[in-house]
Amino acid sequence: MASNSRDSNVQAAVNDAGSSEEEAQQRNVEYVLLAEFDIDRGAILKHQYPRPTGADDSHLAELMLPDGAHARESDWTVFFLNQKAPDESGRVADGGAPLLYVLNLVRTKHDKEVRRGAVVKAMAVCTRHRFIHIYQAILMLALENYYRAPTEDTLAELYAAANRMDLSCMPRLSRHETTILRFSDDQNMFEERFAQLESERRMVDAATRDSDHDAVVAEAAVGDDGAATARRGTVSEAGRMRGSARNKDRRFFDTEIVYSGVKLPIRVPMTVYPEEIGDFSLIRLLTTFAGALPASVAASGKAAAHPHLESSGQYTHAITVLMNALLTQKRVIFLGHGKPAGEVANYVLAAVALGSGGGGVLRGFANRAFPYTNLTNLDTLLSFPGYIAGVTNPAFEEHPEWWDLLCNINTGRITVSPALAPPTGAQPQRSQADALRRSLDSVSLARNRSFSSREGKPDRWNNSDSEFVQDLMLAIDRHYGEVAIRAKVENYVRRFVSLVPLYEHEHEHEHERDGATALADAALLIGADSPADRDARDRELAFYHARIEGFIGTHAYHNAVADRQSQHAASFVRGIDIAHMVYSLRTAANLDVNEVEAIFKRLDEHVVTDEQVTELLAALPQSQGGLQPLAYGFYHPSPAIRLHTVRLFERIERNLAGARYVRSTNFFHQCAFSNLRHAFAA
Amino acid sequence: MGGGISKMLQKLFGNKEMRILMLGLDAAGKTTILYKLKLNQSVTTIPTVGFNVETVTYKNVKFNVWDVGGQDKIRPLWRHYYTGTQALIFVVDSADVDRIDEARNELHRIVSDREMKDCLLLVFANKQDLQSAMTPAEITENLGLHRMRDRQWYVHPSCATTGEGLFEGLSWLSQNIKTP
Repeated sequence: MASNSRDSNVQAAVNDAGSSEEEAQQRNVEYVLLAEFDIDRGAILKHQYPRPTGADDSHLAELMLPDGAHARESDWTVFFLNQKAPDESGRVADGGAPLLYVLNLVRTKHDKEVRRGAVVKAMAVCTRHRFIHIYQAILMLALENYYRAPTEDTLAELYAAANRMDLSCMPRLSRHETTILRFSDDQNMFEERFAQLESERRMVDAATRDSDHDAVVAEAAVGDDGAATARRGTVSEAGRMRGSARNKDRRFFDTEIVYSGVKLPIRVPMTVYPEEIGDFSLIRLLTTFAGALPASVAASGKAAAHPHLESSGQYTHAITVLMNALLTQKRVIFLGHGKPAGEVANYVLAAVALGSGGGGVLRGFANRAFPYTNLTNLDTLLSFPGYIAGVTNPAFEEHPEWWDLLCNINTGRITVSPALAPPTGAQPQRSQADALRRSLDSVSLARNRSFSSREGKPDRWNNSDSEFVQDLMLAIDRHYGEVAIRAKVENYVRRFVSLVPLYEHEHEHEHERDGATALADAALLIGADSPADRDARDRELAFYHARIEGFIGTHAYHNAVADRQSQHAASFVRGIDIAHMVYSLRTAANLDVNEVEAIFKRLDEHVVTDEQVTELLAALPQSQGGLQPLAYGFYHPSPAIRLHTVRLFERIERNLAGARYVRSTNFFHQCAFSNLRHAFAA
Repeated sequence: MGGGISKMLQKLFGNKEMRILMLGLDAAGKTTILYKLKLNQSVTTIPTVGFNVETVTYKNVKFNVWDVGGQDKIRPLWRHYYTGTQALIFVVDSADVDRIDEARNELHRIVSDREMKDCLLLVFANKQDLQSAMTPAEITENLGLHRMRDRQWYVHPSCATTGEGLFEGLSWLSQNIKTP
């Protein structure tokens, strides 16, 4: 019975690109490694358990013993295994061994007894879990044990303990459910899913404990439905369960690792996006480099700004330069001379989240991220176009031919490599057009300032990039949390990516590019934009023009095309673009009655099943007002729109998460809902 | 503009900067030399994982000293530190007779690199306090320095733990530094 329910659980998760039936049965930890610094031979890999990872031994050892490890008591490094270098066309083959995330602890112990006075050892776990930080505590204990008992058995014990960690009661949330929970104020959003698994587990436990088989069989027969089980369970047990659930934050799954007699509590985050790895701080990244004057370009003595990076010319904000570099797949290095490798690694992981849109929009950044690396890994690093790497060695600063953008953590400066060549291809033709426009602008500028901005020339001082950065900084100043900041980044990248098909659509005739129409097909599903909106969009397109060019052809772009296609195949809602509709309802000031009606009508028609409602809810995160944009339909003068809204809300209410959404809308919306509902029923 | 003024001041007061790379076999005493110069105290050092870099000011010259770990396996990485190096300090354990040939091979490999063709060479014949230490003349002979014709080189005896000989070495560097 238990296996049955797990199957259905997996079924529910099929939509999630990251999880599959296979993953449900995977080990928590794949490998445990141990390296030490041999005073005669340098870094060597001593043990690999249970078998070799397949990666080069000395390479692993070097990454586990970071530069300067001798100068501090302990340090953490993060690196990945099974990263795939792209082929000549810039594409990365799918399939093959999955990316493994490695968390490594290195420790230096001074010991007068040994030759040259110190022993440096490092231990690492390799796992598929993106939340690698849950293994910190056990690594600390295990490395300490290894100093006492330096044998492979110590590694085996860690391996066994970590793989005994029980995640079977952790619901596998689909991508849409993850989004809903991530932005929900209600931490019990998917309480039922947890409760069901927990009650099943209790029954299985009881069954193994209980020798009376008949009773178990009888109970299991009714147990197919989780609710029924709860009802049948003894009153005290059900009460206890409900009591404990109320206090639990269901954005985390609580479990434990028992290691050499010590119980280590583990909190697994339930709301991580595919490109969020470890426990980094995006706020830290942003504040470190926000203060940097965009003087880096001027200082490097370069005449012309690179169109992919310095999108607003010389005065582009440092954060924008970084964002542009990530989106257009430039080689980015974070240098923290004298900083712990663990700190540098967190900057890289934060940059991965920045470029991928809070971890949730674009894919492929983790594959080219090297959170901690050093000179020994240089050749591998340079074989990845657009790598994102963390180093502590200032020698990198002196080799601008190795990178395109260098972010110095100590000084907060971002430097564009003087060796970075301007993009090739359609460039000359465009710069000609630009020059033409510029000369036109200078004429028009004399007459009327605002005219030039309507012509599509970006305003250097006041544009959506500086607005975005200002908004981020203001939010950080006001102590918004990580999730809120990441959501802002997500929205920005989502908006950027949504412009790409429009751009491709417009430029289809100019240059036939392979795959150019792949994204374009998906766009423009709702065409009737008002002239004012179209005008704004054209301006936006012109503003992002160079960066979109830079983005097309990157690994993240190819992934986005592939995802778009597979999402369309797997999507529950066919034929309409929910995100775009929600965006229109939220932002467009000039929608006329027919357009609003068209949107509500289509939503009403297409969002019917439970999965479809879930998908709609994911597009309406609670932190951004939840159902608010839809609720305005209750007050629309058109009775047809009011009817569509009521029908939509009735369906939403039948969804478990949806019911919580409806309950959390404001009182007036709820009143309107119930009044209209009765009115239409009568 | 600010840069211009500071450049003028530098010319007036002769503030020179010098990038120095300190190499040598493992356990030759590179890190001990670095911290003796920097802190003027003898620190007990442990093997360097990667590198150390410190700035030492002596006689108005700012020495930017890079000390890179010397284990056999990480010697191939030395070349990444060559760019912009004005002087090489090669540290030899004078008592390690067994490995003096190995030291000579490494030294010749370094100085034959294109990027190192103009740099000064200072050899510290270190660990002179040990009984079995070779003399500077023996070190010169064993390292084959006489064969280096197009290079300014200098061998100085030193004892890193007491600091003897170190500043004399730096003096030689500051006197022979070429002003760019």
